[in-house]
Amino acid sequence: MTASAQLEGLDLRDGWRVIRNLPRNPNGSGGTFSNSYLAEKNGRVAFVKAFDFSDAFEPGVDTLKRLAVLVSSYEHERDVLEHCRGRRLSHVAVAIDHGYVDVPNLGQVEGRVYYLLFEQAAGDIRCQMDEAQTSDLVWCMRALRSVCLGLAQVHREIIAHQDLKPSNVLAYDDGVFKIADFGRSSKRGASIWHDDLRFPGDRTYAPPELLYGFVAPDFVPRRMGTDLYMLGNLAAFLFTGTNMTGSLLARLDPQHHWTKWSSDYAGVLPYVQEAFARVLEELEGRLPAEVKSFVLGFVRQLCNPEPKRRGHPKAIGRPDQYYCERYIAELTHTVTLLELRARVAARSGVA
Amino acid sequence: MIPSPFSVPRRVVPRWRSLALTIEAGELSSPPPTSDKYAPPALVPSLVEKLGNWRVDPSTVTAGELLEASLVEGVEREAAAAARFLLSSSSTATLPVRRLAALALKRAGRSDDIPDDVQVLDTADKAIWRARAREYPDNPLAWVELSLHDVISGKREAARRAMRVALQLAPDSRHVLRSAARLFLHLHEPDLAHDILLRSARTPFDPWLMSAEMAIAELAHREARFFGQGRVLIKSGNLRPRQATELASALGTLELVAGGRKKARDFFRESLLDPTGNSLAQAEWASPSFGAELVPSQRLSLTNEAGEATALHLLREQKVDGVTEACERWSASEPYSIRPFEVGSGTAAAMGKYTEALAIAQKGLLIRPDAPWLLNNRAFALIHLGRLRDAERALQCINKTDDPTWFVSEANRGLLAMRRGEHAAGVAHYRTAIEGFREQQKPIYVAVAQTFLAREAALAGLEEAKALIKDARDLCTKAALKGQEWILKEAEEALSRPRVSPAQTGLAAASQS
Repeated sequence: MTASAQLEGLDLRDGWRVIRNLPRNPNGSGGTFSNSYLAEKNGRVAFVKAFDFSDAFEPGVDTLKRLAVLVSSYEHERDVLEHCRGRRLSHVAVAIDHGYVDVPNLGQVEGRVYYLLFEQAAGDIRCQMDEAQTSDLVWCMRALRSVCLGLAQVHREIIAHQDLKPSNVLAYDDGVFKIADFGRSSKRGASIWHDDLRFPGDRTYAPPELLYGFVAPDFVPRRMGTDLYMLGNLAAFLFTGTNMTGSLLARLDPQHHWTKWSSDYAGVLPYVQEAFARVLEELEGRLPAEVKSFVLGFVRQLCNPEPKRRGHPKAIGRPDQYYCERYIAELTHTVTLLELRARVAARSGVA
Repeated sequence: MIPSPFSVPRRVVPRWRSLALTIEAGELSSPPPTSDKYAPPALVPSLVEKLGNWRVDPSTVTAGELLEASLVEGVEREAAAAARFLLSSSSTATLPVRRLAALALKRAGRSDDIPDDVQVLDTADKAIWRARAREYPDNPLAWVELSLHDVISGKREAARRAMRVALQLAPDSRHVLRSAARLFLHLHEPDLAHDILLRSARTPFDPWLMSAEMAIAELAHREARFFGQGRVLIKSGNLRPRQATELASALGTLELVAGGRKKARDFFRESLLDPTGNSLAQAEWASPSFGAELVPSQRLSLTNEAGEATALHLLREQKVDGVTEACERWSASEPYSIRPFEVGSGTAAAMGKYTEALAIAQKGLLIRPDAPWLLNNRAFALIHLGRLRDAERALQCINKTDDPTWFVSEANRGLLAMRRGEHAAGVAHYRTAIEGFREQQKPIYVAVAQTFLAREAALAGLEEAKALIKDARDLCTKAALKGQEWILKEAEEALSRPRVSPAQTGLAAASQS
């Protein structure tokens, strides 16, 4: 049993006590392993992400190299979250605290566990896959607006999230949604080992061009363009329960799948565009009339398989092409309208 | 008279049919070179994690996440159980998730597990493509499909406009370029067809575009620009047989035309390792030039879209019975092309099935109303059905050119005149046709025209009929033409019985058919 798996009952900094291990599998999506816990302080419960460095001490592993990767991953996430906390970003799940704890009966090196402490969320938005648990239209649009706002906030800091997926959009009891898990993020000017990866996040949600090996050289189109795609992807997910990348690839002939395609992205793009058109057809059939035109346009613009054409039509080719500010006002307007309608409907129902 | 398909030069011009059929033919793939060793797909950690989550806690969310990861990684078999779970009657997964599960099962080769209520459509009609292009105009393939539907229904300008949009959206796409080149060839603009292939930066590296360039260059009376590069590419051995087939076939054709029979044969052999319907037909067409079978018979049944090759094979072996059926299959793989209708109607007419010949020619004329070969076949069938006025109108639509089809029409004018009892004019038309063919050095055509003249002379009871039959027999022997024997027998029978009036012959043909 590794040190990070033995935190139950230990005291953390500032009076927090680890109360329960969460039965979640280690997150092995790209080299950083962690264990999850709940901690408590004066009746307040928080989520603990405990980093597991034990992998560096496995036989056959270059310990120094591996340790450097693990430590830098922790430091990177901590620094990004600290940066966000300092800027008071309202739609970003920032860390309440961070630090380390020594596990008793283990050596100083292997027994020291670094952690990040977060406000506990009520859940994430993955429930949208299940018809029996899907939420109403106002909930979906609020979530979308919050994610858009959260992304705009981090983009203003020139931070790209790069792993924006349904499990990383947290829902809180007060109806607020925040984007979480900055372990795979990139910040312009700061370098981290996963910057060298073609796609640092969960490949299941990657934009198609990155799967086919087309990587833009500049930070903004490459990383913020990726975030934009993932934002559109989330919008599609909220109404269909499916992810755009999987849906696209399912509609491609196997010979055009990225694992079997040896030519460049431009060569396969027409087939991807065709698959994208078919996914849009499916989405259109699922969208409620009130938001059909807006959401369809939102997904069409943000998930365009051609990175050059991705973004708000008025911004294509402009410096703000890969920023999502232009959508916030429209989303806010739509959400307000829907909330108003819901309130009126509720009142007339009572009367 | 009716023309022979072997007398027309055939080139490896790209076939243009629905996107689904083109993909199925393997023309749009880009597999790694043969030098790359096959590595089975490895399970990435994120997929392993999702597999673990699904096994520990089978739910809609864990099954859905595993399903999507497997689709992205191309290992759908790993998610077969999760897909079945999502498709089970008790599942509460959303319809799009269920549809995704069905697509994954189809990919995993388990289509039988897909319930009937989840439809996975493979084909789309014109209305669907139109809606797709309207909803998402950035989709070049939708425009190509629209163009195809338009050209099939004879809307040439609409087809051209749709193809122009596709070319603007994807100027270097293999499918768009091959389809566009084929369209412009169909619209009698071979220079433009060749230009768009030359302009693309992809052509010098893409075997499918190179083969198209070589074929179309010849039709545009230009020099093939990528002959050398194509040869190097084939010799490199880096291409998989399916990727090399049409390029090798195009190179073989150019070598054959230039007289390099040995090199041509080698290229054709290479093209037959894993042929498309197009390269198979090309080898079948080239076979008479080598005096040997290039295409083994079993290849015809093993290759998809082998309708054209089968038709040519049967014609070459003079087994005409299956030709019209083969032409129907050929037409399915080239729906805008009039060639299957030309060969099909010609063969049906040669077999004496004039009503069938007329119907086939009519279908082809819907695509191209001024196609001279089809007009000739239509006129020929109509004359034999006794509809002489309709036949005359069909022949009036054929414009005078240097093409053999004009002399074929002259022969048919001869036939028409003979059936009208205008014997002198009939013989004169036949003589013009025969002289024209002689000048163009087409001995087979000369023999066929002479055979029909002899028969008509015999039916009309002309004095010179006996001599004409003898001449025709000699010419057929020289040209190694066996298919005309029944016409000569008909002529000899006519000579041996009391004279039959032309009007009666026409009526007899009509009632027979």
